[in-house]
This record gives sequence, C-alpha cells and structure tokens, in this order.
Amino acid sequence: MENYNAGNGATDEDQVASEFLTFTLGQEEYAIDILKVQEIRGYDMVTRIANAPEFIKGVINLRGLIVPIVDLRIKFKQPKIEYTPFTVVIILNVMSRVVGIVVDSVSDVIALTPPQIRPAPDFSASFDTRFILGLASVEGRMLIVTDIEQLMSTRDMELMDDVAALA
Amino acid sequence: MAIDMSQFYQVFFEESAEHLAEMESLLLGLDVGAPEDEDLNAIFRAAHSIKGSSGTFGFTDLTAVTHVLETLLDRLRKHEIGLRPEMVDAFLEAGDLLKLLLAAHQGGEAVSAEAQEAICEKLRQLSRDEGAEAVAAVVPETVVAPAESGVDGGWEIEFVPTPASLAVPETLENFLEDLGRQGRLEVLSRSSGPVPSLWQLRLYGQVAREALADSLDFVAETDAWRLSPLAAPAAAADEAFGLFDDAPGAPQDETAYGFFGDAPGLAPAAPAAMAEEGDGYGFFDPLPEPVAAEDALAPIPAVAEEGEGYGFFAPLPDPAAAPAAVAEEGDGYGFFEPLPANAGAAAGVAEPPVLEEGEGYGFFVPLPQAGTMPAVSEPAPAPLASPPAAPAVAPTSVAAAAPAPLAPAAEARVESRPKAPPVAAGDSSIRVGVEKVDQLINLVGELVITQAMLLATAQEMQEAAPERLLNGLTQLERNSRDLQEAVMSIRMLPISFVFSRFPRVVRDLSGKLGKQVELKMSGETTELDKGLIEKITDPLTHLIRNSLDHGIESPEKRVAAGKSPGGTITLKAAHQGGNIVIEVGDDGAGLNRQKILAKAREKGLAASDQMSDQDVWALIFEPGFSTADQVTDVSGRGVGMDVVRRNIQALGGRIEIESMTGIGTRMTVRLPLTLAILDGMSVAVGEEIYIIPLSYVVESLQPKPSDIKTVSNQGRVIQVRGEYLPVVVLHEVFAAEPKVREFHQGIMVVLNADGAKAALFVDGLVGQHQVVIKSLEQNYRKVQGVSGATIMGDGRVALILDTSALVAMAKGQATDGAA
Repeated sequence: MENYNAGNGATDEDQVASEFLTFTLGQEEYAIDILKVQEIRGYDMVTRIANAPEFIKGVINLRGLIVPIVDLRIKFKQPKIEYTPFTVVIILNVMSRVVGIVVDSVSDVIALTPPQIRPAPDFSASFDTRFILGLASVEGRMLIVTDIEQLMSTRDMELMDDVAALA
Repeated sequence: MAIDMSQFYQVFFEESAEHLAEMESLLLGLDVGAPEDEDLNAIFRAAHSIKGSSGTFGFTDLTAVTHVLETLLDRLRKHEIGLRPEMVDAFLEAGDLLKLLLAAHQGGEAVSAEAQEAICEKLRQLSRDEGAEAVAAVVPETVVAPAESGVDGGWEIEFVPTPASLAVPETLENFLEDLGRQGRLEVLSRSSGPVPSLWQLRLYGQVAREALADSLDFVAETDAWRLSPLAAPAAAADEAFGLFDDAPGAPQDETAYGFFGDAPGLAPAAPAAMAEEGDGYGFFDPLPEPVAAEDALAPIPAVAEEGEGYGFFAPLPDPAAAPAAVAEEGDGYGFFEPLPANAGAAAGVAEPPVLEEGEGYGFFVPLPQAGTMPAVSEPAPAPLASPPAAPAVAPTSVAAAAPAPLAPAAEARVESRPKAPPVAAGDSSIRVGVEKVDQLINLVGELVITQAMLLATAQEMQEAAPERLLNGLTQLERNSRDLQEAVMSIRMLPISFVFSRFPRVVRDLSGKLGKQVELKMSGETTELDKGLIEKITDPLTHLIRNSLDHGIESPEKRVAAGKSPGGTITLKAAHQGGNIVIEVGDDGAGLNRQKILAKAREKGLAASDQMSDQDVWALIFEPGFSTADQVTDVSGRGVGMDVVRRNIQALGGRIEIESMTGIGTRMTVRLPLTLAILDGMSVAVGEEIYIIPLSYVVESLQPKPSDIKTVSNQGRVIQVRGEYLPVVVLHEVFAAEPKVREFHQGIMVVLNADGAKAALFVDGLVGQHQVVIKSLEQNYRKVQGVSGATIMGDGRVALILDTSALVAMAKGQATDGAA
C-alpha cells in the first residue's frame, strides 16, 4: 500500500510527529495511529456470524487467521452502505488481536504533531467521546483523530468475550 | 579444548532425561527375585551414560551421584551381590534426585547437598551391606571404589584360572583370601561359572612379587597371568571421563569411557591380546608369542582364553614385539587389525589398545609404521571429551618404541555412549522445536487451501481449461493431501509417553497405602496429538490415584470379599472411530451408590433415589465432592474429579463411569484424535455452510411430514426408529435465511452428544471432510452454538457447530415445550 505511505512530509523535522492513516466515513474524515494498522485489503468472502450485532459483518480468512470484520459505517450510522469491489477493509492490530474495519475509503498517511491535535469540544453526554483524541485541521480538512484501540474495545463493539459477558 | 560446551547442554539435558526415564521404567519392570541380566545391564548403561556425559560437561554433582549408583549397579550386574527390593527403592530415589539435579542445572531450584549425600550414603550402605555378605560367601574383600585407596604400592593381577581350580571353587576362594591377607584386595573382574575367563585383581600394599607369582601358579594356567606394579595411585575413578583411559596400570571399567588408546604405565606391558570376560568378540590378528616373564618388567604372555571369547588370533609377524590388544569386559566387539612388524620393539613396552567397558564397538585401525611411533597423545577423534585423567604416566614415553596400536577410531554405539553427541549422527530421530512443526502444519494448511482454490478455479473454466492443467492440479491435490497427512503425523506420539509414568505412580502409592496393586497396560502404541499428550497426563494420573486410593481395597478386605489380595488396575488406550478411548479400570470395591447419594444430599445437590446409576456416578464430578472417610495426602479433599472432567472437556473429550459394587469401576475417557483437526460433515443452510463434527453424527435422514410432531404446539419432535427426538432448526437458531422451510424438503441430522440425542434440521448435506480447527475466540469471542471455525477449500470461513450446546438447546426447548 505504498500509495498511502507517501505522507506530506510537512513536519519531518518535528521529532514528536507521529503518522496517521486517514479514512472517510460518509462526510467525515478520521485519522488513526498508523502503527495499529496491519494492512488494507478489499472486502470479500465474509462469513456471517449467527446472532452477532448488525455492524459485525462476520469473519474472514486472513491467510489462515480468522478475523472478524466490523463495518464502521453501520456502527457510525452512515446512511448509504453498499459493498462494491472498491469497498475497503483496514486490518488493525489492536489489543493483540486482529480485527478488520470497513470504511468508505482510505485517504492517505499524514504526520501530525501533538500541537496540531486540538481537543474536541464537549459534546452532550449522549455522545461517547472517549475514543476521540482530538480534532486536527490539515489543509482545510477536519480530521477526527481517533484512539482506535479504545474504540474497538468498547463494550458496545461486542468484539470480546469479557465485554460480551458484562453486557 | 576451546569448544564451548554449553552449546551441547541442551542435548545433554534431554539425553539424560531420556536415560533417567529408561532407567526408571527398567527398574520398575525388574523382577527383584530374578532380575534379567539384560535389564541390569541396561540400567547400568543408563546410569553410566549419565555419569559419562555429566562428567564431560562438568556437572560434577550428577557425576558424583551416578558414580555411587553405578558402582552398586555394576556389582549387581556382575552378580557379586543380590538384588533386594530396597535397592530398587534406593535406585528410584537416586533417579529422582538426578532429575532434580538436572532441573537445577536447567535453572530450577538447587538441590541441597544433604539430600545428595543422603542418597549417596544410602547407596553406599547398600553396597557395603551386601559387600560384607558377599565376602563371607565368596571374596575375602571387595572394595568398591578404588579411588579410596591411597596406597602407593601394589600389583595389578590378571590371570586365567585353570580348569582344575575352577572345578573346585574353594581353590580360588582360598587364593583370594590368601591375597586378602597380604594387602587390600580389589576384585575388578572375575568369572563366575566353570568357563575360564580373565580375572582382574588389584592388590594394594607391599607384597613381594615372588610370593604372588607362586600363588598364581597354583590357580592360573601356566604363563596365563600377569603382574604389573601399580605405578601410581589409581586415578580417581570418577574423574576419568576422558576419551581414553590410560590410568596407569589400572585399566578398570570404572574409568574407561570411550576411546582408549593405551595403558601405558604398565611397566611390564606385555604383548598380550586378551579377550576378557566371556563374550569379547574380538578379532585379534596379531598374537604375540608368549614370552616368559622373570622380572617385573618382562613382558607377559598373552592370554587368550577359550570360553566365550570368540577371538581369532593370527600369528604375529614378529613375536618379539609386544602389541597387545585387550578387550575387556563383556561385549567388546573390537576388531583389532594386524599390527605389522615392529621388529625393533624389543624394549618390551608395547601398549595394548584397551577396549574396555562393554559396548564399545571399536575399530582399531592398523598402524603400519613400525618402530617410532610418537604417538599416544592424539588418539582422540572426537573433540569434546575432557582431558584424560591420570596423566601421571605420559603415554609417549612408552610409545616411542612401540608399534603403537593407536588411533583407535572407536565408533560409539549411539544410545549408550556417554561420549559423543556428534557421533550420534546415525540416530534415526531428530529433535525439532514444536513451534517449527506447528509452523509447518500451518503452512501446509495454507498450501492445501490454495491448491483447492486453484482447482476450483480451473474447474469453473471447464472447457477452457486445458486437460493438462486439470491433470496437474489433480495430481497436486493428491500430493498436498499426502503432504498434509505426513506433516500432521509429526505431531502424533504414542500414548506410552503418558503411560510410562504410571508404573511408578502405582508402585509408590500402593507402597504408601499398603495395598498390593498390579498395573496392566495395553495399547501403549496408540498415537495421539502431542498437545493432547501433555494435557491428558494430569487427569489420567488423578484417575489412577483415585482408583488406587478409593477403588482397590486393602488386601485384608479383598480376601474377606473373596478376592485375591492383590488388586489390578487396567489402563487401556485404543482408537475408536474419530476418538482415542482411554480406560482406567480397577477390580476394587466399586462406587457406593448410597454413600454418594447421601453425600450429595449433604452437599445440597439434587439427588433422589430414582436417579439412574449413570446420573449418580456423575455426581462425583461435582466440585468439592469426596466420599473418602478420611482425608489423606493421596485424595479425599474433594478437589480433583471436577477438575478432571473440566480438563477433559476442555480437550473436546468426555468421561464416563461404569461401576459395579464389589466388581470394580471403569472410567472411560474419550478424546478427539488431535486438537487441530476434525472430521466434519458440512451442511448448508441457505447460502451458509456449517461443519458438524462427524463423531457426533448418528445418521441423516429426509423426514416424512408425518414424522414431525409438536408438543404443546411449540417444541417439535421427530420420530426416528421409535424414539422421539427434539428438533433443532438450525436456521432459526442462527437466524439465517434458509432455502427450505418445510421439514420434508430438508435433511434431519441426528446428533448424539453426551448421551443425549437431537435432530438438527438443515437445508441439505454438502460433503464430508477433514477440517483444520481455527479459533474464533483468538480475534473474536465465543459464539453460542459455535465451537470454532475452519477454512474451506474455496478460502471461505465456515463455522463449526458446537454439537453439545445445540443438543442442550434442544433439551431446553423440549422441556419448555412440555412445561
């Protein structure tokens, strides 16, 4: 996926810059720590899991590994959900597990320094912001910088046993 | 030698562990009354091998213990003393100690010196006790460890008794007694029985040679004896783990490990070819002419005795020379090739290649050079032994004039040589890390899937695909299946790996409990997955302990019940269908139904007198359940059976109990063949494919509409062969979109899990295959009704059904419906 590795190089000198992979969900653009990303692949051959929540599409065979696939578009209540040959799955390595997420598209890899990431405004209590690290503005785009690990391990993701047990 | 020994440590640890295990199993198999020579020898060899290699690697604590152990064993196998039960106990204890010591060297807890000394002392004591008795009967004095002697004078005596003296045993005994009076006598080897063979004695003390010679003339064949002064204090036996034994004048089996060039220190080294002790199958080509010996330094005649020494002695070209080959001790299969003509070797100091210690298959290569053979110093082909002990006498000093029958390129027999892991190249097995094997299995699994995908693609192309491509792919399919099977078999081990520990468990425990128990095992060669082997050990041990403690009664009770005083525990393993079945049976008292029921009520468990035996027995698997009247350190605390059941279930197995009062109890453990693979039947529901473990499938049938009945209009049952079975509709359970909804259009798969049956309704059957089990929980979580996942031929994931859960679901449904 060298396409995504180009980066913009804007803050090369900045020691504390870290790289983020950005992807879009509908109109929103998200950024996640690139070190959590294992690979990016197309969406195909998903085996449905009985009685799983709607946003868990099922499991795929990733070179012998059984990997669950979460459709973040469903999770984030995007209106238009379709599966095409261009539908993208980001395979993540979080909490020593391998999980795939379906997104609308992957944009690029950018470097962000901590000062660039501004705290998100306080939303109402109805909106879970624990996994939002902050907002960053790059070339006029607003990026929602996300703690993907936190997001994937929330209880309502229902990806883990202990979580499921508590629910 | 600048070789880093630590790189061999792991090999040493593993080998030693194997030797210990072998020793233990042999010890347990010993008939104390009449031990087999072969077994004693094998035990000795095992101890000896450990001693040898531990010495080589510098683990002196191991060496010290094995030395004492070996000393006693050596005397046993030579029938100097008789085997007694407490010796076996002591040996087993020593074995345990060695295991601890090994563990300590591998980073385990250190073993206290007292513990070591205690065992050693015990062994020495046994040796002494018996030694004293033996002395009374046979030998004036038998001292075990020559190393103890600090005497700086004495004689090495070797002779072959005359047939006459052998015929009258007293003659020899008197001779030994006589010698015993003159100094401290040590018998290195002696013959038993009427066949003349070499005796080796060592006499410490200031004794005149003439006196000895006179005595010898009485008992030994004329000229068939040799006296050599003990030049230096005998090398401490337990330190000599060199490649060669050159303890001057003291070729003694204790010290001889491996490749021996010479016994150079013997001043009167004689041209002697000796095949000692019975069965030396040596081929001695050059036989020096016997030369009469007058003084101490004169060469001594060769001794080649008849007996079982199958030696072939060809004449030596130059009789004056003195190459001597001595094959000592038993089964030395040495080939001594001619040592041509060392004409000038009149110096009379030739040294004999000494092939000692049993199992050395030595090939002594001829050294054609006569005269000045510089020599002895490098006969060692293998780089890893510690320097020879007792360098007191430099070999070279002697060798200069000798034809030097050196460079004994002795090949070590693999399993029993302490010496040389590198030489063990001929061994038929290799050690490989488990993770490497697992990686291989994974890769092959991938290969098989890729191959299947290719084949499916080619078949889709139909006419477009050239026939050669299809043929090739079919061939590839066969090959990869074979490959997969072969790779899978790497992980399979015989169950004897588990079973082999039980004789010891039974022995120790029956001793502790004062019961007489015989353990009968069968089916030890049954193979199962290594992962299973590791995990089944503890549950099985627990079952056996249980049988011993609770099952088998005390001898008195047994006799009172009209049984033989000794109980029997049977341990059986066999393949049965896709399972391994392991049975632990005993002919003891059986389970006590009333007692279990009473206990269950006491514990507040649901128990009624109407329960079937099967259900009552199942109660003992409840946590905290024990019917033992007394808590012993063996069992009775009530932890255990529930753990046993849980462990076995975790392995995908189950356990059943059969018991009859007064007759005995039998526990049957059923396990899948392997953790990694299962025989599955694939079924379709709509677009989805599910795998049912084949071992749970009883039959499949297409029902008639009239076969299906409802109960309370909710629970559905189907009549199969007179039985009403609850129906589980898979598409309902899994909320899938089926192709068929009418029962008579689909298929009912009758399942049997844990004794309960149910019929599973699916759209249709797809096929039957072996599937590799993949964990769903590794990256996801447990799914109700699903036990795992697998990857199908087309690369898709298919879920494996949790049959027990589905059947339980059906049960619940049926009950709900009935309620």
